[in-house]
Amino acid sequence: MRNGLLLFCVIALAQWALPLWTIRNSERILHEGTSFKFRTAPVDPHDPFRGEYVTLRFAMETEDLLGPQPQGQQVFAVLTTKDGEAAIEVVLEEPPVDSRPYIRCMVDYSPTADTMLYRLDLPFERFYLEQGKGTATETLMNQQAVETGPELPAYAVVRVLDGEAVIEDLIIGDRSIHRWIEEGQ
Amino acid sequence: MAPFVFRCRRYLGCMNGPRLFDVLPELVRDGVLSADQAEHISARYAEQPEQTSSRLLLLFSILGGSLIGLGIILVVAHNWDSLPRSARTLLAFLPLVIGQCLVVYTISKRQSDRPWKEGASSFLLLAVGACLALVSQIYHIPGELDGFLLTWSLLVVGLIYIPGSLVACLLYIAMITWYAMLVRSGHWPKQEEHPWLVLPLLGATLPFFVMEWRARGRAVGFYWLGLFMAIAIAIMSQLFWTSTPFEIVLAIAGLAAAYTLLPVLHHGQDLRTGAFPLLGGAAMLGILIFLSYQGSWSDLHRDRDLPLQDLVIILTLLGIGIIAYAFSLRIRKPFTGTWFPESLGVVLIAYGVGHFAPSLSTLLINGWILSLGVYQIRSGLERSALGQMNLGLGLIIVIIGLRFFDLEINDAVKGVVFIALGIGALLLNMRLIRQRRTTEHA
Repeated sequence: MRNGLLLFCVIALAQWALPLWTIRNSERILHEGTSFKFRTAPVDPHDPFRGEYVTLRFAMETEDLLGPQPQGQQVFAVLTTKDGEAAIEVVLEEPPVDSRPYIRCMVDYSPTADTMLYRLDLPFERFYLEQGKGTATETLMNQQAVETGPELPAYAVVRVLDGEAVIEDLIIGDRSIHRWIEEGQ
Repeated sequence: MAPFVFRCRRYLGCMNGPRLFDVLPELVRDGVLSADQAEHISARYAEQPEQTSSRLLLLFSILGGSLIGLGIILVVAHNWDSLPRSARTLLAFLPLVIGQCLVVYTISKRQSDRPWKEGASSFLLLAVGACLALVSQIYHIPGELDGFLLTWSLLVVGLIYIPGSLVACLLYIAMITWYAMLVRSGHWPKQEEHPWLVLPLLGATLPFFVMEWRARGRAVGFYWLGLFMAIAIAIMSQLFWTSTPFEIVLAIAGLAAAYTLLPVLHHGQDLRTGAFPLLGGAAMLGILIFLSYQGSWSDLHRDRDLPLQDLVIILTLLGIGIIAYAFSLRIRKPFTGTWFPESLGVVLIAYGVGHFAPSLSTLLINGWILSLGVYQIRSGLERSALGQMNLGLGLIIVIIGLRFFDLEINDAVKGVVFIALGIGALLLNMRLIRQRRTTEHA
């Protein structure tokens, strides 16, 4: 019985350790990370265990970058802010040694089939929402609900620290998605 | 021999207490049984009230643990945006703490109590999933479902052994199979991959399978474990192809033959491994019907390279079938009990012939399916097994029906043949039912 209890303690510790480590890491990024606004557009799928979410497709992921990078290669994108939005300053093969904020991401394929061009696959893509709010968010982000006035840009507010990133909020126009939903759009 | 013993036991086991006990005095009176023998039968098949209540308790504990756990997952999947992050984080760990406390209590105080083991383990398994899902929601953790299932499986695999739970093992097998299928199918922007990791993950359940085999091989639970294992192995064996060569059918036939022979391989031990021959027989029939089309053999004549990985898989699965057949020869004479294992040999001969004369292979396979059908009908009639006889009839009707679609035959002729087959099926069923009644009244 004692051996069984000891072994179960190891299993139980692992069951605690992984979610706690994820929480600690995410909280640290949210508190200490640099905030960036990534221009985005949504797709609205559903996960059987984690519920409804919007998949975010970022404008930065459709930029063609110059250089022969093989698909699937890990790279480090140093970030800067340009006109209030996140932008890539430079892409490195090793993390920067200075304090500039960067994210670890993968090289994605380039639809141009040009071996000198490549695109990035950002390491954050899901924004989870309360059940029933996914479609409303998608509609809102696609501007179908806005009949007049200028198009409202959509951004993911992302905290970045030591190469890792956590999505903090989804902003449409100048308001958080939660406020849009609260106010019934 | 083995299938006969299995049927006989199942028949007695299926009889309800009152029915069995009702006929015993009559059998003693008629001199079929002695009073002592009747007493022994009563003692052997009497339902113990404690056993019945313990089974019910086991069933309800499994249902309770699983339903509450699944309910929590559904509640979590709703994603309560209105709650603050700290409250949601706390909620994520609440079911986990409860589940772990239940398991600790089970290990300390109820180690030999199966309802506790099964209920607590299945609840904790699902609580771990709920906790991971909630943390993913709160922090918008990226990652597809395959990664989620992999993490979850790794965190709960230990529950199969500590405290030791069959339901945890079944859920774990289902999760890793789902994970493997997702990895194989790939998701944008990731390419299709081969789920190599699933092999050690499945391997982790094998000691449990052997333990259950030895301890509770005759229990219903072992049948379910066998069913999950059979399905998981069958699916996983098909997720590693790099191309789609014709020889895939040989690999499937090899594994299917091994499945159909499993009850023969544990001859002498009364084990509930019926799921394997059931699945193996179905797969073998599928292969035979596929090969009964002449078009299926056309791939053999194309210039093609067989990648090394595919060749290894084909040889492995085919080898499993051939070795199982060779071992079975020590116990079972060829063509006894069932003809499904022999189908592997027929498929191999047809494959060899197909390189030179595909039409001959098609003819051989069609002839073999017809023979299988006739054998099943004859065997069904001999054993008064209605299901087996109708399987044989079904096989003959399917193969004739399929060939009718292939060949240019007058519709009227087709109609007459089907009417004749229908009448034949009806007459055979009536004959078997009458035969059964006569046996019962004799």
